Amino acid sequence: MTGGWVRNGIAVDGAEPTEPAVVWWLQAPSKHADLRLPHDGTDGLMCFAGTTTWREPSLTWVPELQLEASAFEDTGICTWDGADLLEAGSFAEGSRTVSYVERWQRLPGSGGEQLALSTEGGRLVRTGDYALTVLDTRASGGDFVCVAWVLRESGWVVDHCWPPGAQAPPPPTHVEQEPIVTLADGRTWTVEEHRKAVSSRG
Amino acid sequence: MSALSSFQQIPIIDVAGLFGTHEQQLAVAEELGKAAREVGFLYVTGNGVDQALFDDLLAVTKRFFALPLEEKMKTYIGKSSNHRGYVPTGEEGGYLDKDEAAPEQKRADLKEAFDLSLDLPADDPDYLAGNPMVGPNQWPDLPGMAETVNRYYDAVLEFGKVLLRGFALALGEPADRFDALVTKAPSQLRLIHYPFDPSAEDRQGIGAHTDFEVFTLLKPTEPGLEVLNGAGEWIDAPPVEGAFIVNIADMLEIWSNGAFVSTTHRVRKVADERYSFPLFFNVDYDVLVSPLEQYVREDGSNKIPLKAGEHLYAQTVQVFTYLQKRLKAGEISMPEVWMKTNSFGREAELARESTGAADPTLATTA
Repeated sequence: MTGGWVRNGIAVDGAEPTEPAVVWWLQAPSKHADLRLPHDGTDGLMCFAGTTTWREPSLTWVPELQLEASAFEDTGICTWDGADLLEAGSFAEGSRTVSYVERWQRLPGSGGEQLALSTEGGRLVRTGDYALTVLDTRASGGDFVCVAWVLRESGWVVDHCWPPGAQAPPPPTHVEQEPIVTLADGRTWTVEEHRKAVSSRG
Repeated sequence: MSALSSFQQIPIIDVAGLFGTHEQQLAVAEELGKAAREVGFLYVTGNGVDQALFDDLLAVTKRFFALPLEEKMKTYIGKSSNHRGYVPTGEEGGYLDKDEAAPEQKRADLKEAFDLSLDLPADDPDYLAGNPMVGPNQWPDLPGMAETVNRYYDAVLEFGKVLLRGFALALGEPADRFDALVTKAPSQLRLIHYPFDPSAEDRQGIGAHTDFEVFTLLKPTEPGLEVLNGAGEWIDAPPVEGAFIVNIADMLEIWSNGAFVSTTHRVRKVADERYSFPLFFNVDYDVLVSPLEQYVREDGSNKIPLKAGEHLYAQTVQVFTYLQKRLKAGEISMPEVWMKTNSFGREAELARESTGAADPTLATTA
């Protein structure tokens, strides 16, 4: 389940699936980052980064940084539908428990190098040609920002972000064995996880 | 009602004669009519649309879809009141597989699109009056895109008007029978991008459906389109050099009272990156389309009259997430008469044959 995923439909309480947001979930070996940017307005805006645990058949996402705290444990029961991952779970809406099923599809080109970096109030997760940088500096009077990157021929470019115009460093161009790296924001980031791309034979 | 055959191949018709003498037009019309009755799909060559216009369209479309999502979302279709602009992945949910059991099992694909139509000025009276399908396009800040796309649109629309005359003749009507019905029609052009998707082998993409307008003029860059024949088999409709793929759509099925069939088609998922450009040729929004007099049956089993624009709008509302949200919020409403998606076409007919359900496209059962 590692790699980059884009949500393509959420069915709530058995209703027809819809997709009102751009949702990326990037999963390094154990670290994740997730940005949910609604197509219109901010209703449903979410962003979090943390550690994922797998206990068959459930995935649990434990946030370490999050835009808005949730009292609900984020656990989903996962099944496969062809190459798609279906995640079923529930959340509280007032006094009611609402069930949902989310359909996740592979982001094309997200199967390469996996990298998770951490700094004080920051997490960066890269999976192949995609990356999310999450920075929470609200404790020191700053903002919560998240930038979604894609790797083009020209290098990393911002694909979308929250809030509009958000600034955050892109992934490093090259990482080998070093335990820490310095990113474009001048800060040092610890390499939490690094899995090099598996090169194909032949 | 239709004579839809168990065709294994889609006919290729040289329609250059439509630009010629009346006799030449009639000869082409005869071929068009045979294809429309027996297949519902055809390729048309000799259409006079310059290949360079398509090459330019493809190039600018690639530039647009390569923009960051943030840029593309500046023209998000949900920001328009007349259904124009960028359609992100997942926005369009209505063409999902219909044969899956539970809603959450319905599969969508990763396609994104840019939707446009006849680019009317912002002071168009129908647009100002709140017509949901006519008015100006939204354009991104991409130099040359509007001009390039509109050049292609105008050329294909002009050819569409010629082809409409061919279909009029094929129906046994005067060539100019429908001319006055196309003054500022909501004929949508979609620029569709299917990203490279290595997991896509042998999977269904856009689910089976018919098109809502009169006919569609399609240019894809790769194979993937499949058409349902009379035996319920899916037949490949790969691109052919210099040709448009034409399919009969719902309005021609009504005019011909089912003699021409709005053929069910679908898009198979392919791993290769793919672009597709359908122009859905329509008549004006308020045109009431009903069976032509010569096709009316005395037993009363006649197709229901529908306003062309309202039919398009009602189908669109059922397919797009942002319109569903507006509908639920009470900001928009459905037209007085509307069909559920997949009411027309061969697949719907086959399903009715197996279940014995009534045909909702007939005036007697609607």
